[in-house]
Amino acid sequence: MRELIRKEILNNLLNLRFSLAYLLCSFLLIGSAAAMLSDYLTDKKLYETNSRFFAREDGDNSRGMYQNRAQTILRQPALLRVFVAGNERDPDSRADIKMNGVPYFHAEFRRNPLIGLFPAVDMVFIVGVILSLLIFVLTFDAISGEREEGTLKVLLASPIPRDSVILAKWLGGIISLAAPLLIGWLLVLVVLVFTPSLSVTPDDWARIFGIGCASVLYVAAMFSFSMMVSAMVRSSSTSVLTLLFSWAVLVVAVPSLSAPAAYLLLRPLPVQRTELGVRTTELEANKKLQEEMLSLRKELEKQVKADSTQVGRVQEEAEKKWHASYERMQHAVSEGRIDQSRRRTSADAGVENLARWISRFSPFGCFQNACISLAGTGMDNERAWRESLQDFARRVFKFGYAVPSGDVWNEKLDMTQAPRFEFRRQPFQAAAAAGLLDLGVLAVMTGIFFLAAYVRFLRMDIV
Amino acid sequence: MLLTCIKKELLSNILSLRYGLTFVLFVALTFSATAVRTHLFRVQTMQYQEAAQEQRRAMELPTEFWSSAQLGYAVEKKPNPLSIVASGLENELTRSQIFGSEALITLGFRKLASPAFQYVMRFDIVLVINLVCSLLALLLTYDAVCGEREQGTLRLMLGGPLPRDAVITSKIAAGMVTLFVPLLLSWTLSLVYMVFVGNVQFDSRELAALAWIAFFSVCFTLVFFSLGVAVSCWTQRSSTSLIVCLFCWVVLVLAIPNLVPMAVRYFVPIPPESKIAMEKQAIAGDINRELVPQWREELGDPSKVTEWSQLNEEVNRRWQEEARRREDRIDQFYGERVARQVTAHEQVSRISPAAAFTYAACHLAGTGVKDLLNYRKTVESYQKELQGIVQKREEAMQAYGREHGWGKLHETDEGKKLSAPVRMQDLPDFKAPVLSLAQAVNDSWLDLALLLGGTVLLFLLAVVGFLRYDVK
Repeated sequence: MRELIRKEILNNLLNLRFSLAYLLCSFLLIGSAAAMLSDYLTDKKLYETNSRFFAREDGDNSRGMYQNRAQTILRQPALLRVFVAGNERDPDSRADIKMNGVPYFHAEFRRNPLIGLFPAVDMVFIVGVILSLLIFVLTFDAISGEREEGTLKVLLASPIPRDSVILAKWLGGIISLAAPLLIGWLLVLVVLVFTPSLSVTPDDWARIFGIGCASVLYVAAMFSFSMMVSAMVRSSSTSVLTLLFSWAVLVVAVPSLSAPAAYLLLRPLPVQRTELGVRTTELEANKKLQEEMLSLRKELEKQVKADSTQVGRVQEEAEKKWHASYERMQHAVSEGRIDQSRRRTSADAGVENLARWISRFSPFGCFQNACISLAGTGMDNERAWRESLQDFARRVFKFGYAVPSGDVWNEKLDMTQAPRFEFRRQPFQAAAAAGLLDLGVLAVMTGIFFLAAYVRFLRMDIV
Repeated sequence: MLLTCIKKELLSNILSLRYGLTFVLFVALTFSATAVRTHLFRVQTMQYQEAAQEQRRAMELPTEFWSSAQLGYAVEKKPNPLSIVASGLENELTRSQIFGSEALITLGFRKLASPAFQYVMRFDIVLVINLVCSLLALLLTYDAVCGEREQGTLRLMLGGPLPRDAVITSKIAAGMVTLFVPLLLSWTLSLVYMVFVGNVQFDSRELAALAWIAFFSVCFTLVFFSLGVAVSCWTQRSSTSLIVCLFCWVVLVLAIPNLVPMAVRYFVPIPPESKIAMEKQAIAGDINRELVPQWREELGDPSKVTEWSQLNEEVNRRWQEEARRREDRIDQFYGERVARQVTAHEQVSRISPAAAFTYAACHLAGTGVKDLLNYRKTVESYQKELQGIVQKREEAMQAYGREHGWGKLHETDEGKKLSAPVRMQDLPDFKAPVLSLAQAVNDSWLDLALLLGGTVLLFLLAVVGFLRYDVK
């Protein structure tokens, strides 16, 4: 068995087309990682420069200014986007938080929009789309080719049992496909380690390791599929065509159609309705406040009419009641807007969830989902970002509207107690748990494809 | 003789299993892309119409001017039917632009807001042609010559009276015809589906644009077809030819369009947001230091103003105008830097046929980067128009309040008219810019020249390679 595996590995590695294909893939992996890393470092530098500027205080700590000043929050670029761009490719990266609820995203007029026209050539794309195509092109004749050449007849005429032959082919093929991939990965990791100004946390390393394992599992799945087709058809040309057809459907069509199909099936809340809801919330709350103020004014006028010596006291009371009503109104606005935003996030998450389920029919879909979960560049991250912004908005509101001790507008706030924005990404354990289902489905697919090839090979008539 | 040769090549192509599967695959993919995108378009059009009605209803809610300003006004671009075939930057173009009481435009969510749309490939006909059609063209032609040599049929063919140039010409001509059939059939089926099943209405400009996009797709496919033939004429073995073709495909279709933006960012950088914000913040200080004392000196002459409040209002008005002028200059400067980066990106990445085809198709469809930048300019001018209207009203209210007393704003007819809420009919119509087809075609001439030029070059390479080909 060991000899057979060794023979398969050597056959593959010494094959010119195999070597060229892997050279191509490695070149792309390293090139993509280098380019994405450089892009990440540029964004990181910009983020640090911009953050320092927007975080500085302008010296005016009055309550009035704090209440009216927008706080700019910037999204920190994620390191793992170097491998899995996900939705980090073109996020809404600058939000303004004001006293009354949801973040406003700026009109991003200062970014190159052309990047949106082409798919991101990250590691998921290279391994998932390009490498899978290369695997099909390199191994379409794993069995049918040998049968056509006549070498299979000779091999099976020997005392080696059929199941050993197919198992050796499978294991040998996976090792010879995975080994160059892992070498490419290692080179990328070396680049990471030796890049100055880059800090990779243990959490990041765990995620990178997880993505590496997912890549190997995906390669195994695609190779098993290729073997299955090669075992099922009689000629190599039919095999390559069937595989290319399958590639177009499983790698291009199914994952790409998953998101629009999910959207059409779920018909989530239209975006315009959320946006209008956010705007009308303040209007309705203001209307209510005005009605309250009108009835308060009437009541106070009555009191002053009844006893004109109490004007001073009445005025003080009126101010306190006004302040309380205004705070209630702002709180209602803030909560109303946050609620709208939460519904939006929920609608988007629903579409992403269903899209993931649809794409699970494709090995590439499972692989992409797993990598996005592990890298934290999917909906979970987006949800965490939006919720962090909402939580920060609440804390800003609480701080800005804490009961004043004196002059409401000019009272100085203790800025050391001011809320700071915190954004914590999902820890690795949660990310791994999220990706486990997809990895499980991918493993099951690998098993099914291999079993189909195994059974077919055992029953194959090589005459 | 040549015609007979072409007929023979045509028949052998059409009757091959490879061609049959390729045909079915390509038509199925383009049809499914069209079907899904047509339904998406219909849903988005419905939502656009409902949103317009809901906004109209919402604008009836405010009872006075300041509430209208608080509510704000959102404009959005109507969904573009051509985005069914070339979605391009449609998801960016259709974002709502919300104008509120503040000077900034708030950007709405993307209509396809779920992050799933960010990381899946945008599945439209342009993507299918870019990724799949180019690949299929290569796979149909990578062994056009070297495959026949391996089979031994090339020697037989060249042993006959037919000259080599006629052989290669017949292969190229027949190959072109066999590739055009599925391409044109896909376009026709897609158009029929959009019009008769999807009830999508195209005007004459849009139909003509569709025809142009189809033409560009043919030119694009020709590039890869001729690349496959050329590689086949310069290699001896099919397997080597296949790998070289795949290498070229990966570089031309995937690597160049995606790696160029990172290089361009490095060589043509855009200054960071903080720099823009810092410069804008500095404006206030500069005006206060340099201009306000001058204005006060100029306006402070008692013979020129009768009240200090009027003096302050005039200073304030000049301050706002000067600040806006300086901010516009900064925005213009940075807008130009973005445009420079975009132009550099476009020019460099055009060496990839996939990029050239995508830019041309999206621009013809109205979903390209020029359309986006144009749209943003229109939004900014509209914002200025709205600000002008709001400012006029504010000034009129202030003048009235000063003259008659603020209480009269809600009591007299004239006051009520001035402080009345803003309704939809009071606002100017927002017209998204639509580039004429002639202009769009004119803008895409370079892409067309590159595609056709590339095809001619590769054909010549194929012919030269074949004339020198060793059939032993």
